[in-house]
Amino acid sequence: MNNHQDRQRISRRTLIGGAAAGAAGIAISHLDTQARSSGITPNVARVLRQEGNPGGTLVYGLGFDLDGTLDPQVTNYDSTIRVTLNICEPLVWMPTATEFIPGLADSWDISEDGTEYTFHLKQGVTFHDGTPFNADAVKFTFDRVVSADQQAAGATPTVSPVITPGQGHDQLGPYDHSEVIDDQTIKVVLKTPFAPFLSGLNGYLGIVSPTAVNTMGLEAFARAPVGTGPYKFKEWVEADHVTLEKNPDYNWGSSGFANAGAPYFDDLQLQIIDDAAVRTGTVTSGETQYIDTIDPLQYEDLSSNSDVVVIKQGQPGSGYTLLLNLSRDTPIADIAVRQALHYALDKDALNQAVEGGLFEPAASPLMKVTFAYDPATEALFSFDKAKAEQILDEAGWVLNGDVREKDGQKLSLYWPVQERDRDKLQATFCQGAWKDIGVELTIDVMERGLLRQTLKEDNNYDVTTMWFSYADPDVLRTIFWSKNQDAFNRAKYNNPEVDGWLEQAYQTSDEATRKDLYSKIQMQVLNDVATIPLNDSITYNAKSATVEGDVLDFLASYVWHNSAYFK
Amino acid sequence: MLRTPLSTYIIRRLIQAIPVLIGISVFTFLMVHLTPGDPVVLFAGDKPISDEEIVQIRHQYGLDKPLWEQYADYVSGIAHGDFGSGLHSKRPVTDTIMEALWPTIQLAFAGLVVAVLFGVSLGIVAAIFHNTWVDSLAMVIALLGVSVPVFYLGLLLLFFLSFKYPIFPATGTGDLQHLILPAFVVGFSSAAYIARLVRSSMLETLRQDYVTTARAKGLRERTVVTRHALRNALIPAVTYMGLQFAGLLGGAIVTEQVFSRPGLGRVAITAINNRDYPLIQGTVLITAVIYVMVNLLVDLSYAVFDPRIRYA
Repeated sequence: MNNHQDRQRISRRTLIGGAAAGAAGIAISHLDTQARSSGITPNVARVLRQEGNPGGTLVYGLGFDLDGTLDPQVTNYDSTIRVTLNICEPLVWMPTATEFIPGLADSWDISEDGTEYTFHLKQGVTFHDGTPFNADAVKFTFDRVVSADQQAAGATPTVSPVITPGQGHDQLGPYDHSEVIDDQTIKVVLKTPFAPFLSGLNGYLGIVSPTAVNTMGLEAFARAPVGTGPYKFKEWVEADHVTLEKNPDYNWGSSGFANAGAPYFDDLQLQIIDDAAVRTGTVTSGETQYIDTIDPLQYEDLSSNSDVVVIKQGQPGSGYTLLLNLSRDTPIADIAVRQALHYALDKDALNQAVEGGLFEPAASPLMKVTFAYDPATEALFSFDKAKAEQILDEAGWVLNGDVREKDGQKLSLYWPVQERDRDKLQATFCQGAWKDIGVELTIDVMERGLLRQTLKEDNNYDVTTMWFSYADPDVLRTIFWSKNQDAFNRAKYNNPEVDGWLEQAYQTSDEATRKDLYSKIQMQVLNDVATIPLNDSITYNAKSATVEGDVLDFLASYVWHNSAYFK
Repeated sequence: MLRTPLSTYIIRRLIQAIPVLIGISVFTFLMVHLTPGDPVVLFAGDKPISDEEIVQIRHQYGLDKPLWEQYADYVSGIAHGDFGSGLHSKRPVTDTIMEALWPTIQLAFAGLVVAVLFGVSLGIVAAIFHNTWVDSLAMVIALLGVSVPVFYLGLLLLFFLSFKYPIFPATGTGDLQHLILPAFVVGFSSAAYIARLVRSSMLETLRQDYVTTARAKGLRERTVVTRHALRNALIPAVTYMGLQFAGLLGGAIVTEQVFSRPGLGRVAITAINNRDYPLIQGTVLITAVIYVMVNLLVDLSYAVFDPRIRYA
């Protein structure tokens, strides 16, 4: 009797198992074909078969607190977007330097002159409050970012309530207005062509529910945002954690994701843990299952820990680079001095001393993974102390004791530095390296508020640092365009030829042209020694070995959780 | 209300607290506004901000008015229960502080409990086993408590009791298990001071005549210690505990950083970094109020226990 039942039970299990395997097999090959046909690189369509159990709560250790709001168009912080990107989805996603995959937009057309983007939106999408996603919602999201500008110009804002936009304002670029063609089609019109436009659509421009914003009011919405994402907002305990819960209705994920349906986790709990050492400890003890930015001192331990996986990915944008203030009449104005400063730096040693060897020495202000990075920059300078000294000698800077002098002026430079470990280490390293060639560097450590004021108002610095992660090489315009001297162009660089290249480069979408222009730009700012690149930043996250299917985006900042699960 | 000496004393002390609080608010106001670092520039975060925008925002927040006028506005606001809104957080200061207050008080109080239980026990044990190895051990522990910095102790405990052996959680709030490690960290150094205090005052008391009498009467040692000696020995400890509350609040702030706990400490640090004037003032004011209240309670407990003080 028993044997008969056992055989039956076993055979039923085998049947079901076989069917599942068969279905999974079909699913894999389907996804695989999809992946190959849309030209997605392997690291996006990574794990294609879900072997694990759906469910569970992923506890994510956030390295940085939110800035008081969960409204994507209002916030200035990347850490906030790490939360909101799960709730408010973008029109497109960016997995690599030059690719875009569908988000809430299935496809898009760009006009000849590059000023009009027509997005064909996904159908059957609803916000978490039940209202339908359509072109009006997209228009609302974009218009609210410029509502304050409209008001300031004396016009009636097209959207109310008016908000003070955060970083979303810069991402939108030369946005003029949007035209709703029909429920599923929207035409976005820019004032000028803007090549980085698509790359700016993720993150800060996640689409929000207009109904929710209007019924809840700005304050309430900022504390409980409503979008179309795979996760819904659940709760926010200030300075402690934000909890998101699975959106079971979600089935409009990107064709570029391994899982386009409802996410596997039941909950996503983003725990705010500022201290890197503590945060890293929690992933080793299992209290968290994913953390951003590990404590670099624990890198070795984490790598050899079989329960933990370290995720290492280069970032795009502008790396850690020195900007030399060209508007000063101190010795920094002498190009020979600037060249010598560059030759005197051993970037490998600096990387070792400041970053524990975890970053990568840089030759260009553009980080290596960015589109249009030019490897030819690597041949311009090298670590050559003798050469540095020779240049200074030939320029008339003669050693008088420890410090060089010329026409009675000491080779003395000033660098105000933020009260932050990395900044202080960079400055101290350079101070030592430059002392070796007879340059006297005075470092002034001050806290952030004071430094901001000093840089902006006093303009008494010779050296300062810059780092700007950005998906597009247009970041070079942020840093070197003469019109940005009041903002991030802290080198006060003013070269009309480079200005022309920068302006041309952002207004054309032709990859070959842009690449060529950015090569010229990189070589020129390096030859003018407006900047001395130190190193490229690399993102090091860590996760429990039981987590699979997570994807780190091209910015190496946001983690896509929609396909992630516990093994 | 019957005008007893005790109630007069309470009223008198409460009235005395008012100029103290006013003085603190003026002092904080000046200190914060005169510190270099413009909140409006910090406001903008890393975005470039034009000079016109700065002027506009300064006007919006009344930062372009003369200092005395800003202070007057602030005080009149308080009279209406309005402590302003955070420049950076944009939320009403009262909301932010009320939310952050409970976890900090919870932590400081838990620390106090740890300090008292641990400290008093250690002190009594040391006194009873005076001049033996037990006494020395207890005093070494006390020395550690006094010398080990809060931050270091926190990280050490986290390393052993949370990361290496996952016994306690490292972050968050909610239930008792989240409170144990932080409470211990906060209370340990106070415990050390209390232990030393209790030990020396116990030794004093145990030498007194009435204790010898009690023993002579044939009472058990346990009764002698607890009912006769301890009560008097605890008076200096009680004074100390009250004064230590301020230290516990301070320790709670650092501990909150280590254990990623929400609370007044985190709020204060963020507010200071952002030059969020209204929020900084609100935080300092509430801390001052708490401190003044606790001191008052300590003094009152004396007045209750020792009649001489009421008539002073």
